[in-house]
Amino acid sequence: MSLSLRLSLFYGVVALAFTANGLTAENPFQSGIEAYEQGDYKTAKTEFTLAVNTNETPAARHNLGLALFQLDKPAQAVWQLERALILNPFNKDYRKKRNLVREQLGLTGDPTEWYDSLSQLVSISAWLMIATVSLWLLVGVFILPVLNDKSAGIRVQLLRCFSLLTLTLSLIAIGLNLQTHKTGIILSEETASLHAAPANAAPESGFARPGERAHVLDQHNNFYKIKTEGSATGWISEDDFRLLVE
Amino acid sequence: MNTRILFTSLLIWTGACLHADVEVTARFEPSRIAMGSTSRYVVEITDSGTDIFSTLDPINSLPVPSANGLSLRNMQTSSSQSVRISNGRAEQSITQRIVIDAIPASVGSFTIPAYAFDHKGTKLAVPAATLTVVERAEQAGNTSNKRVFLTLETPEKLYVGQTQMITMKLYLAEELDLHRLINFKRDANGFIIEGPPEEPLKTGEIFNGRRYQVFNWPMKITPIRTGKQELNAYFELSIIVPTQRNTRNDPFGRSIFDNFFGKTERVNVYTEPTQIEVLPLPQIGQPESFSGAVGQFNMEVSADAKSTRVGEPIMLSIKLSGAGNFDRIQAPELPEAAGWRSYPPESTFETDDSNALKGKKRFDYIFVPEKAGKLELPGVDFSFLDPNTDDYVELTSPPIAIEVSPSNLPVVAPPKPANPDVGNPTESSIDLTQPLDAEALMLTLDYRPTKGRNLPTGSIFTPLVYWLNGSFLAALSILIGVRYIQKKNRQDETYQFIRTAKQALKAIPKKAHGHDATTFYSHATKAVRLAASIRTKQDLQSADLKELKAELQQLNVSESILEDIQNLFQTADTVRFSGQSQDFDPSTANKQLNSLLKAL
Repeated sequence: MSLSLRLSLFYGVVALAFTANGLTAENPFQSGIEAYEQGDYKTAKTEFTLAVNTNETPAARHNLGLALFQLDKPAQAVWQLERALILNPFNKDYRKKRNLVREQLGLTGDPTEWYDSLSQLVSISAWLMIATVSLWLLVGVFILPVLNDKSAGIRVQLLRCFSLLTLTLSLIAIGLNLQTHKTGIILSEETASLHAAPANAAPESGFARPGERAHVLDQHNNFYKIKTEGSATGWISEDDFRLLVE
Repeated sequence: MNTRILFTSLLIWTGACLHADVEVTARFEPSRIAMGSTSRYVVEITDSGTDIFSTLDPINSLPVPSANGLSLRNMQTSSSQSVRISNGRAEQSITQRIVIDAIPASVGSFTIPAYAFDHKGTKLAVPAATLTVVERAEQAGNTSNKRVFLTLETPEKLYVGQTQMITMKLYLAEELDLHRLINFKRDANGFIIEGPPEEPLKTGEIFNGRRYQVFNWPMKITPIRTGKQELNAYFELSIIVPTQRNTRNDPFGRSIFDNFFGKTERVNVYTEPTQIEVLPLPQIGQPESFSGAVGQFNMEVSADAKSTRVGEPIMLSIKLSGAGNFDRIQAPELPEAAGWRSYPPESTFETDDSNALKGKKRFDYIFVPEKAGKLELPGVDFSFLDPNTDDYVELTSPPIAIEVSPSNLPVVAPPKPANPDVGNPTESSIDLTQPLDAEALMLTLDYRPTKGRNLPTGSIFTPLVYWLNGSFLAALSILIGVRYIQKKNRQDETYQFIRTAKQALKAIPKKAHGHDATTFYSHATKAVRLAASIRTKQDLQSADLKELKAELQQLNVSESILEDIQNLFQTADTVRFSGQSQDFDPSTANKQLNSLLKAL
């Protein structure tokens, strides 16, 4: 075999390998969908995980949640669906599926209130900008008439009301968003023990159900102090708990 | 005369009152004992004098030097006070008695050397005392000479975590009476101890040939450390010692008046140093189901029904009975059971005795079947360590078969709009739609990878936030500053005048340009007056040349400018009054005016 033929073969093989690899790496979302539709949930999970790591979209999170659900990991599925809902808070389909998985885990009710969804209308950074502008506008409309020795007219009064309203709403929205940042999901597949102190050997102070939402009260080393939906309070290992916004 | 005698007597009596004498003695009672018996080291401090108002200053400790081989314990103190009146003279004596049990370790002579201690600011010397200990004769009776002593009845060994009852006994000689328990302490760092209860159980015992009243306190102990663990107790108590009658030889026994006439003594009693060997739980042969139970137990496992329906709970009960550390028994862990959803158990405990060492502990597990068919509740394994045989015992129960029938509850259909034309949905339509909807929904993927909301990865306070706030703050500060200066200037009259003058001055060259000489010079003199007003910050609009020059000279304006002003004014007067304007060159005159105004 001539050298040129050998080189051609070598480059041909390398190009094929790159093409194949590129196909998978370029569109893991699509690969995940194909695997899922063929019933290969393990591959679907791997591909969707790759998809969320490279480009996190609500759809990738949602699809990963469904793959985990099919693999009998409902608690992890709840986490993925909750995350998808944070990325796309007004998707009724996601919400319905999240509630169905929760019901299967024995958790009733929709944990997301209407004001939580509204607070996720824009990102927390955008809310912060709105709050900043509203605050300075409010300061301006209060100070400028005083500086000019003029009484506030109807337009200034309306502007004051508007800026005060937007400032209040944006601050509430920031608070709710920060609360979401301190919310997580119990990931253990069985009932997890809550401890009275941040150690596995500490006495049990309560239980947390798989897939249950919990609010973080404190953190110490690898332990979170949480309060669950069922009002149980205690320390849990980070192996059994994951924050929705990390 | 009588007054003088009375005064002298009072002086003598007062002097006698202030006189006091302190005597200290030390001895062993008895000073000769047989080996195995206990003697008492007695120190008496007698404070006698005629000061009947003196008060007792109690002695709580003595710096007794050690005598090799002689153990001193259980210090007791008592005091007595007497007043004697002789020939009209009162004499008081206060005696404090310190009694310490002396226990010899061997036969021989033991001497506690003389020593001194401080009392009421005086150094008191205690004389030496000697105790002789001889061999006990073989035929001698084993008679106890202890009045009060404390014992602990404990096992020699225990396993860590094992719970055991022990009894603390306070022995009090029959002729004595327990007045009050003052203090109780224990040295038992290696144990969890429950008790002693407030009220002891009172019994009687003969110990070493002597009759005692015995106060029993049961206590529950659980060792928490392995190795030899100290377990000691101490009581501080006061007892009543009869003094008026010799009860031992009284044919009628003790009387109710004994307590009334008796004296009170404070006594400290200690248990003999006690150690318990605490063994670790054996690792060899320890079953997986072992969770710390030590004792003897039996197990019963039962379900509350043999059959149920899907979704209807069934209860699995595990009943553990026997004796041991029930408070340390955890609920047995049950293996995963296919087709069942289970919940953490609830436990109850019924004790058979007051010490909670015997009884029945019950764990109730709730299982909910998730599918129909013949299912099995999981088998139960429970193990414990039997301290009598030092072996682990494992109790097992087989799985319990349960017949689960399908649920008879109707599946709730999704609400439909009310339509009188359509009748109630049939059962088949309900069964087909609801489960399929959920299942199909859970299979449906999202095929549109659109971008979602941006979630912050770090702090929400980005540089943009700081920049925006900084800009707003700076703009507002500048605005406030400008408005403040403007407001201040508006209130300043000089500023206002200069401002008006400047505006007027600015307008004059335009007005003067292109007119005849008379109009030009009229505006020019006005402009110079305004410029001078601005320079001097005074109103010189109606000033004549002389006043103008005087004001400008005060500001050190150069002579050449003053000459130019003078020429301008003179030319203006000439033009005005003579009407001569043939030599008037508007551009040259305008330039001169501008240079003059610039110079001013």
